[in-house]
Amino acid sequence: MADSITWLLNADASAVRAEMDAAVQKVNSATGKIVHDLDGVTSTHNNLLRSDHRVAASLRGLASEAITTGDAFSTVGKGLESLAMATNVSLPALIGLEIVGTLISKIAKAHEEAVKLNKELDAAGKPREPGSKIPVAEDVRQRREVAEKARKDIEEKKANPWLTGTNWIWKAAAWIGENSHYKLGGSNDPTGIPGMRDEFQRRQGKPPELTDIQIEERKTKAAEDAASAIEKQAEAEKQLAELAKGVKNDLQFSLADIAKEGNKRKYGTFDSGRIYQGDLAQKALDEQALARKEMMANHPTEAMRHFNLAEQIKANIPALKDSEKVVLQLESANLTLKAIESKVSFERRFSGIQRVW
Amino acid sequence: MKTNRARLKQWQLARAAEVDESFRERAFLSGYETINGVLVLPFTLRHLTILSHLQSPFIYGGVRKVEDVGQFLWVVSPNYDTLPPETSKRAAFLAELVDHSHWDGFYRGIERYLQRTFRDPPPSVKNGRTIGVCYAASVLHPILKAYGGSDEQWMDKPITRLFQYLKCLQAEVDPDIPQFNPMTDRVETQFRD
Repeated sequence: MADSITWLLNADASAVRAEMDAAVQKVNSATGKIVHDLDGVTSTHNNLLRSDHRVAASLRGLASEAITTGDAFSTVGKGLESLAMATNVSLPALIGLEIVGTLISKIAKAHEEAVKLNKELDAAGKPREPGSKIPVAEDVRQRREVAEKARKDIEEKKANPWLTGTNWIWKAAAWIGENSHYKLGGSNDPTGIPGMRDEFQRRQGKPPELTDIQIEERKTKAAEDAASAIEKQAEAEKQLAELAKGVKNDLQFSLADIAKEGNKRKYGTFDSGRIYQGDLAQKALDEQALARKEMMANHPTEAMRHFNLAEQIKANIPALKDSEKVVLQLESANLTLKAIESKVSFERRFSGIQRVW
Repeated sequence: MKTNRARLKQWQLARAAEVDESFRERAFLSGYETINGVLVLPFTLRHLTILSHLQSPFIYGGVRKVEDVGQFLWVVSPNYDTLPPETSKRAAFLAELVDHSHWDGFYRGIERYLQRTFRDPPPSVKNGRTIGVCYAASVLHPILKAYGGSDEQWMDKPITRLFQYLKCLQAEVDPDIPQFNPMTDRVETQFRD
């Protein structure tokens, strides 16, 4: 719109256009052909600009919003874009702090469960070796069947010791022995006297030898415990896989959801000043949430203090750095982060266009 | 013994610090810049005020037309004047501009020119309040108060220079205010993960 001030500035757009058109006419008439189609160039480049740039959107915030604030030091406007520009931390990185914090707390919990399961397996007498094959449902089913069969066999033999095998006499004897105060030994009884084997072993300082039935029972119990622990671990592995899938499905998180999620978290428990691993992760997460809150409130000093504290806490969670599973989960988190970056970037570009039209 | 990653980080940080320093020093070197081969002045507060008043789409966003490029480049040209059309150099400048062989480069060139100008602003502080003045007044007030001089004189200084003075004044008021360095912080962020 031409007003007196615009005229005085000597840069009125319509006057500029008129002079440029006149110049183009002169060039074209001198050369005899149309050599410049500046409007064609403009329309092509506007498409490119809409897809790529964000400077104008940021500067619009800078010029129009900063003008209304009038604050001596507020050289950037409000909003996340301006905040990212003012603090020189990229917007995805700001969001990434929150996402990685969420994942770290979930991963820490899953890692705790996996550690517990491994301990149970050790106690059952069959530790899971590193790099060994993770049992699938079929393996677990087979183990259960074997354990069940062994248990039925034992029960049957207990109930009817006369029935099977050439050792039925000894089974019968064992049954009798279990139901009387005399202990009947196995074939390696050195004294040959019934009941004296255990006494002999005791005097030798050795533990009493188990009967075949007792050995079978203990084997069955160990197999059952191992099968149960393996099944639990398979379940935990399945949950971790679902968690990874859930992480990849978190593309629909909006900033509001992230903030809301952050508000729901609470501190873990403390015990005589010792902070457990899960609580460390929780505390780091809360510090990150506070850092973000301070940034949004334009308190960069406080925000940096919370952020640095969160980084220090995260550095003191030792198990997280060594777990292969955590590395895998963080890889999928990085994929999620990249997807969110592109989504945010797209939204920013699109919102720039919406403001224009 | 440093790992390769630590060495790489150290090297990249040193390079980033050099780039940051170089950008800041350039603000204090009198000279011209170029946009797609066309000579222009460093972006000043006066340029920003004029283009904001004219609602240039390079400042406010929107569809950029041919005349917007011409307008922007005329305002930041060393030959810019406010003389009447019969004596102004505007017509000659624009005639030379339309004959440029690579018009595509102007759009991206102007974008980059503005990005360079605004890459290193001072951070906003808490307890800021809104007062009824324009952006130029809000920037010039603390500078005039601290350093003196006339507002006309400061209007023609590059914005990158004014930003550095504002950062110094901020640091005087609040020594704990965090300092942001565009390239160095980017490297730190990359190596943090």
